[in-house]
Amino acid sequence: MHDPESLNTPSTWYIGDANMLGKMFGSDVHWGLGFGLIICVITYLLMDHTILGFAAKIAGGNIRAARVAGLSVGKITVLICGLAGACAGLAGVVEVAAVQGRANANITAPGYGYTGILVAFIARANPLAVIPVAILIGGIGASGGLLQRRQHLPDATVLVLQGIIFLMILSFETFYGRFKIFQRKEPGNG
Amino acid sequence: MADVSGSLGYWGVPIALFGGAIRVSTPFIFVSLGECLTEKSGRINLGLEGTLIMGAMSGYAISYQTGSPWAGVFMAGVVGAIFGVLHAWLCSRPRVNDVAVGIGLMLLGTGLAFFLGKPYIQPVAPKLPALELGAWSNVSQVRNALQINGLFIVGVILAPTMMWMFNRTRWGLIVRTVGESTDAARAMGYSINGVRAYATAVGGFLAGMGGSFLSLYSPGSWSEGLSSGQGLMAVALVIFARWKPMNCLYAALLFGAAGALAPALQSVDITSYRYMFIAAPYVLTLGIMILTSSRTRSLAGVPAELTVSR
Repeated sequence: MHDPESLNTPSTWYIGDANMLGKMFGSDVHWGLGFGLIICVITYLLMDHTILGFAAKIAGGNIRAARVAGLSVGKITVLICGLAGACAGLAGVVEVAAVQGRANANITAPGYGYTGILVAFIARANPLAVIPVAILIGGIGASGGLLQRRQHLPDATVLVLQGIIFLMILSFETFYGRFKIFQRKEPGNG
Repeated sequence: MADVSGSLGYWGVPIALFGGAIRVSTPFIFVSLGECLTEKSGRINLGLEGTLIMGAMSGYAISYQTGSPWAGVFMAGVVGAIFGVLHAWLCSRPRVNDVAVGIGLMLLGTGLAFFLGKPYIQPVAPKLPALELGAWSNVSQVRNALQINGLFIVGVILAPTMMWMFNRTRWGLIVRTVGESTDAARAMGYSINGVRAYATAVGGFLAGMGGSFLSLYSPGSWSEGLSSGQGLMAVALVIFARWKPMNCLYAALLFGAAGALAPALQSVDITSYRYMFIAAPYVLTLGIMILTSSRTRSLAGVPAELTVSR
């Protein structure tokens, strides 16, 4: 498993071109994005259009109400956590089989795990809203190489920018509902 | 390898564990005590990972510029406190989620530390001196294990002090009241956001100090791979320690000892399953968490106003 050429940073062998995920429809975008979009749609259908998703939302919203309604909260929690873990595992596979080509410490270097949690926060836990937010944040992440080459800025610039963006959006949550344009229009109420 | 541990043989393992526990656990002691204070006031600051790295960078930079490592430790604390105030200020607004802001601050702190710390990767800053408590011994392992850093002693004194503060002082009572019931605190006339801001700022100060230990003593230089999630692990240790300062100290020491297992075994030439032993502290923490948890009651000792328990 261990590639002897990687001396102090453990790394596996290159998995080989035949085992890499291909590009989508002749474009330069690998199938990882396709998988991501499909998972987003599946998650949306699961959470908003099935009984399991509804049960999970009740359990998350009010655990006592869920118990009174006869839901087995423990089983739902374990099942949903398992599915969430499966999504994260799939992200790891895409990172190996489409981007790096080998398993090593570079995979977690950009902090995908933590950034992913924030993407979910900003998308307000809506699986379809995750798509644009993830593309925005991923785009900023991908601009790191260009920033290094063109502007001679260190690669951490991207992290700083992402951190500032997240803090701004999260703290602007406080203005939600404060002004008229943010308020949901209710029928008959204007 | 074998001749290094030669004179002691397998007795080198517990001695190396002892020394490793002291060396590895010091940042955990500081960060978990800081997080304990913050969480007692009813807020979770996950940004302490970023604070830790920021403290490591600024401590190293100040130590290099002024030539005084203790000035670096102080400055690391000040930078940590600034991050704490930032977290408290953002979270004091209504509907702002403290966990999410914490992760945001973690990214920002890590990024800023890497961004500003680039010029300090090469230069060598003066390190914190170690107290040679093992000078009486002529065995090198014993001397190494008893090289105790001043910051460790500060941390060991800090834990009972914080326990005393929580249990015996007016300040401790105010912090606990704010963490247990905002209604009661409001009725008493205390500013909830004010108390939480102080608690988060002091917690950030401690986490920054813990970070300066990483860059100024062990491993003792500033690099981007310096912290491997110690800040987040320390937050988990607070839950593990059931929000009690003395337990934080014991949990950090236990975690440090488990973390020192892999290098200690390596010193007596047991190198197989090395990566398994590196995972030992995490396995141990998870195992004890599972064993001490219960299906029927919620976590004992959790401050009632924490967002996770509300």
